[in-house]
Amino acid sequence: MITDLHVLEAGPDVEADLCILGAGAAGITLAREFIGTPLRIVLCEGGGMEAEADTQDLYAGEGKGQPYFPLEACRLRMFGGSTNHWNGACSTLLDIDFEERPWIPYSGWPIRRDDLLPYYRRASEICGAGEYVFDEGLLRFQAAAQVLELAGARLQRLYYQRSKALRFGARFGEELRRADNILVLLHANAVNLQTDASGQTVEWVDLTSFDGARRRVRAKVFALCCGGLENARLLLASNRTERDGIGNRHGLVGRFFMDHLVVPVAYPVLPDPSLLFDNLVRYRNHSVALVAERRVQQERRMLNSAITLEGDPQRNWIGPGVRSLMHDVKAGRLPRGLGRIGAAAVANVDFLAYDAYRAASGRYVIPSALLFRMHGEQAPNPDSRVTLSDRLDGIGMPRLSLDWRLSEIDRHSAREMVKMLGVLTGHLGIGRVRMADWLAEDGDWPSALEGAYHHIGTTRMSQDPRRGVVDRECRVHGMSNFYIAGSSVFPTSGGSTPTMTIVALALRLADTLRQRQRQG
Amino acid sequence: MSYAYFQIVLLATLGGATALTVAAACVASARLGFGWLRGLLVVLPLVHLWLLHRAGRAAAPPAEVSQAGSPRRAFLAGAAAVAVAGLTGVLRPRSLGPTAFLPPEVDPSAVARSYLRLPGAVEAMQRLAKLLLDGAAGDRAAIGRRIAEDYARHSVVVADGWVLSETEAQLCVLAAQEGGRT
Repeated sequence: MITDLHVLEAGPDVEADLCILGAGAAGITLAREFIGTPLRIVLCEGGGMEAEADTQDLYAGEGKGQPYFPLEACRLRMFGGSTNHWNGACSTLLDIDFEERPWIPYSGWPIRRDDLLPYYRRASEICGAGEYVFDEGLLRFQAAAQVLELAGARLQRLYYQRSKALRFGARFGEELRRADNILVLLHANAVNLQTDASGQTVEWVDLTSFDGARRRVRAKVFALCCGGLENARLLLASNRTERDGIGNRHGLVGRFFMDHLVVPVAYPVLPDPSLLFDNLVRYRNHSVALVAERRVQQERRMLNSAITLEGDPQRNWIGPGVRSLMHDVKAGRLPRGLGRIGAAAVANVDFLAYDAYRAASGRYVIPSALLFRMHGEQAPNPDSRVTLSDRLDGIGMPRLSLDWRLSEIDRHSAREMVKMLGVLTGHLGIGRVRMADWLAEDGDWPSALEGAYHHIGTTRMSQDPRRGVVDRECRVHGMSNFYIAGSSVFPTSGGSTPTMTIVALALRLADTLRQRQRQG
Repeated sequence: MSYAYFQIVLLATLGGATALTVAAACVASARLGFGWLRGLLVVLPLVHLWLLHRAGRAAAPPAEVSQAGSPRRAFLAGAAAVAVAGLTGVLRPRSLGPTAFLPPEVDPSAVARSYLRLPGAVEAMQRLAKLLLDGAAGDRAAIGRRIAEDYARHSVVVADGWVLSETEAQLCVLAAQEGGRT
């Protein structure tokens, strides 16, 4: 059943076996695992079925440190959560991402990739990425006649399987609506988690909506699935019993905020780009990135950053040039830069013809200019953090303040990756690589640096309560009935996209809760 | 057929044929490799220019037309301009000096300045100079092998932003010294 908080009739507190806060990829996955069981599940979502400006504004916050997106623009507060603007890229973390790497402080998960593998297989189907492959089996889908030899450059492939931008709300909403044992509450914003006096058990959650409706949900078990920023916010704001918030006895909640570092790092100069392009870009519903071999990462003390080959929109003159020309013609003006565009067309006649061939054949078009873009792992950094601001939002919750900080090893890893790309092209004799100016020179990060809307690390996982907020079962340290799901529990980010891992961890959490139920 | 009409048809036919041929050659080159394409692209516009000239002579217009508008001369001048533009576009001068191994986008002087600031660069240059003097690396094949070995050993440097093998960067220093620009 799906209903709105304000249409619930006044009455006693809502009772449940499991209360899930947040209906995004993690929350919906977790709830679906209990459809048809005797357990009563309440799934609370702060937004409605569609995006709403007022609700979205609850996400607005402050930023300092490295410039970041406006906090209300990089996630969605609605049923389905941020999967509603997900691009569908699925990949899994690699073995090395779970290992403790001595050259990267605070690295290491308390679980191994093998622990997640069965869940990854199911997550692949749930995310719409099809059968789980994620290895060289995908090479059969690439267009290139010749498989690019990477071993000489000590690089390896990171595989992506593409979902058709699955929206979890639209895909699974009807299933949840029909489920007798599941109650989905929309516009139910969690404003306080209340523990008992010892701080070891969450007893209830207070919910409120914009129109003033208030309800309380009591449950045997609570699972927090509100996303990497909001999870920390709710924990920090729930400070009636413990002054610093729930799960924050060691001051870790909100620290270690990470995102992937998305930025152009190099430009290849290739007389014939087809070998590289066909190997790294031209797949059907799949794609490939490059990462360094494990041994190299250790030798060069670098992070596990991924590199993709893409068209360079800034150096690709054809599209913008023609658009500008058409704009002038429509406005009744003499087109500006006609000579420049014409000269460029003559100078790039070979690329033009090649592009036309690709377009006519229905295959990928090689852009006139290419770049290597990093999808970089960010090193865990305790000073990169979210805290509560003094300002309040529309329902009286403190807004977030984000201080995004990067480290020298982030930059060092980018440089080392570019050198390896240079070795790749030089070793194969297919061209050379030029490092982006910002990376070749010492200085600040460029304005082109962006995150990827991946909010990671703010309630990190560790078996040691002094190093993590949750344990290997995603249970908050020192608490009996409180769990967290989502990318906030990742201790490290790897270079992979996080959605598959979020879903896999939610499936694993469901198993943990089932086991807990069996044990009474 | 009037002469003016003939000129238009000729222009359209030969111009279109040129464009189609070049496009087909480019597409073929994309599939087969670029090596032989450059030569073809040089020859094709010249062949078409010659055909245009012959066709124009064969259809020699009456004297008054020739004197009045000289459309044929204008057309030939235009075709020549297109051919020249095409040639400048597709002909990229290849260096025959020490940096012949590198893409034309590399500026040897800038690489040399950047490389010589790296620790150990001068000593490495001295080793290369000795090899060149001894004749061991004096031929292009030997230098090519040395570059390949650099890449196999991951012996690369970043100079002027370029990721180059040690030997390539050193060759840039030699090239810049030849030009007196370091």
